[in-house]
Amino acid sequence: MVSRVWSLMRFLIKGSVAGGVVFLVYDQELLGPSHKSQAALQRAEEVVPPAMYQFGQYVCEQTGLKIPQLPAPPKFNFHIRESWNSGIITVMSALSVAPSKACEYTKEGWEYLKERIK
Amino acid sequence: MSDSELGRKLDRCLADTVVKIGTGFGLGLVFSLTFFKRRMWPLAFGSGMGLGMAYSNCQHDFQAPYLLHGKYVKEQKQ
Repeated sequence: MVSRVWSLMRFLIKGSVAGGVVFLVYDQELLGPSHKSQAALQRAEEVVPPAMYQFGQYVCEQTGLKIPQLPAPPKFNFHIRESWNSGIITVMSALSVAPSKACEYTKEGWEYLKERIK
Repeated sequence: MSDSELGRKLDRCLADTVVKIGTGFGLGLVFSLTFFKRRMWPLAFGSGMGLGMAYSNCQHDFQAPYLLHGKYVKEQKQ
């Protein structure tokens, strides 16, 4: 009797946890259109770091430990998109002139060798 | 499609992929722990579902400007 009640309780607890997670996903529209997912990610980025910082502060206050402050990450003034685009353009233009350049260098090398042999 | 619009769509696709894979993984983790005795397949299934949904959304997002919408018009006999 007790084991039956306990297994029923366990099933209900598991079912409520799983159901709660499914409802959370449905309510926050995490599996919906892409703009809703992007908005959810932005909300998470705004909420999670301050919450983690406050939790860390609370733990420090309760335990008396002091977490060392990490230095701020360096800021790079590097535009990945522009350098990627210019890199692609450079690579493609190099590939397009590669055969003619190869012929030219081969001719020059051959002329050089002929002059050396004379 | 302009460069900025393409960049915005790519950003949206990336964010959508991250959220959907994470959500699928999380759902798979919960179901694996609660009902499926800590097996690995719910995690793989959930992550795969999330990845597929994100891919489908991205595909629709990139193809949307070029899709033609038509309708049938019945011939009217005089």
